[in-house]
Amino acid sequence: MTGIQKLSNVAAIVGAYEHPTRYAPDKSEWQLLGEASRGAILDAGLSKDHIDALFVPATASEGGYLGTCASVMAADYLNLNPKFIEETDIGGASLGYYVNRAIAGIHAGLFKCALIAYGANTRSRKINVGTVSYNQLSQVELLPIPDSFEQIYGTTVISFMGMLTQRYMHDYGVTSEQLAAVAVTFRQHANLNPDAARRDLISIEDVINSPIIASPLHRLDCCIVSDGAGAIIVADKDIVKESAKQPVWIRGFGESIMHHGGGLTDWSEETRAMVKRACDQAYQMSGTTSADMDVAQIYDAFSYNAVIDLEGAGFCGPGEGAAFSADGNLRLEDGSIPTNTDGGGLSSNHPGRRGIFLFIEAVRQLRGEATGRQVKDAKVALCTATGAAFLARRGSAAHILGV
Amino acid sequence: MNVESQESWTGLLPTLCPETQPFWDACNQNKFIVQKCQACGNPQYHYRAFCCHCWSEAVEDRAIEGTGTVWTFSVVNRNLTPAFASWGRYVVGVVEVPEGVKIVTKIETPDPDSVRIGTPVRLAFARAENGQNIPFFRTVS
Repeated sequence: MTGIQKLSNVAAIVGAYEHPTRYAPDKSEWQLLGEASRGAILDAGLSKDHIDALFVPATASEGGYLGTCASVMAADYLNLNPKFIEETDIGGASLGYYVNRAIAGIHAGLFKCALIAYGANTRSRKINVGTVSYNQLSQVELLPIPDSFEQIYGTTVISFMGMLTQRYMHDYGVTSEQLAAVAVTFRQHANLNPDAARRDLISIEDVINSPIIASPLHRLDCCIVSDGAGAIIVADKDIVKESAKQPVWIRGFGESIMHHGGGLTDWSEETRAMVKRACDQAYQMSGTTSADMDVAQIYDAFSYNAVIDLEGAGFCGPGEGAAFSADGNLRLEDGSIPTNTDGGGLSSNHPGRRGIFLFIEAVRQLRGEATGRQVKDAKVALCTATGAAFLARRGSAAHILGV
Repeated sequence: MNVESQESWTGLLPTLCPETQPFWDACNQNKFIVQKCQACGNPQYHYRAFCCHCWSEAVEDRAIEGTGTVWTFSVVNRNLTPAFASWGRYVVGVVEVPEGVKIVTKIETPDPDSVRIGTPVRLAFARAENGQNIPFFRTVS
């Protein structure tokens, strides 16, 4: 094999664990990280001593305690001695970027068994992720560049996503009701997930009648804020043989970033193009197309994110994602591409960097462990995540997983 | 240049640095700088010491005319950061100016619910307590 195809099936997810908590005022963020890490290594049937690479994001930028030098600090706390550490930060997509870097490192022969872990108690610490200025969230002075040209105008996470959603709705004639269908569908899935934070069914009207936080986004268009933790073990073929459960192979992966381009970027079109670049690489590496996917896990910080990723991933055309969702295509029982089968960030779990949970739910689906919400005969899954640095400086990661 | 008379700025203040000082100094003369590269011809915003498109240092500081249209916006009902407590409901947005760039800004308007994509806006300045002029855009009535 030549080109990027040689990176297909280099590594598998051999362990995965999502902490059941959504509210843990009695536990530190670090303890949650440790409990998730232990859960993942136990799930793999391996021991702590197998781990020779560690990938952990800083959480201080959304109000956590794990800040500078996060991965070495986490190695100290977990008493690990990895040969390789990583803490690339692209917000909630960071965990997807870690999978890519883990595969690159495994392919290069640098290590064999990577722990990718995340924990945060964003809810119990009452961090208002979406409704404060970024610099308050990250507890730092406004940077001269670029913050001082932007944050002084009162931008928040939700108002930024509001601006993106507003432009998208304008360009394609999309309605709030169509977008609301995303949240309604994912809540139906959360209803089947005993660990989901919000399980009560909601209607389109409930979404439309919930308060507008920053137009055009209603409260129910926005993800929940939870405590939470999760971890996965990404390992090479040798470790796969030692592990206990069916390996979930990483068939393909991709990533791409976007930014303001000196003031020239069309944020709206570039968002979809970024997701498409990431997905196209993953499809090319794995020799698949969107038609091959049995299930999708999409980072839904907001309903808009799910819609634009569906378009970027090729499940529907530009501007069609909301109607595609409203037509029932994401539904677990009868949709053409069951999506966010755990309830997603809109209903199940969103401490701030949801990326890790996409992989965990995909693993559950592909192993047939998604009790009560199992997609029948799911063999191939797509995960897409987009995270943000500030405003339209963002990165997407895409993964094709298979058994 | 025809900017509106100054009012007072409340909210966060920019942090200045040597690289961006010329932009903020120009604001104090009621001028909003969008740079134009003499090498590649592209405009850029925000302000930099060089052209981000071609990395030439031959960037010219040019004051914009002050017209623009709303490219996108969001009416903010909730910002819990204390510095914005006095703002009430307000509009953040991206304004497209004929000089060729998109600018993140506040859109001042008597009626937040009347703002639309394409709404014409005009440059204005407000003066902060420390004497710094802060640029923003105002809907054209």
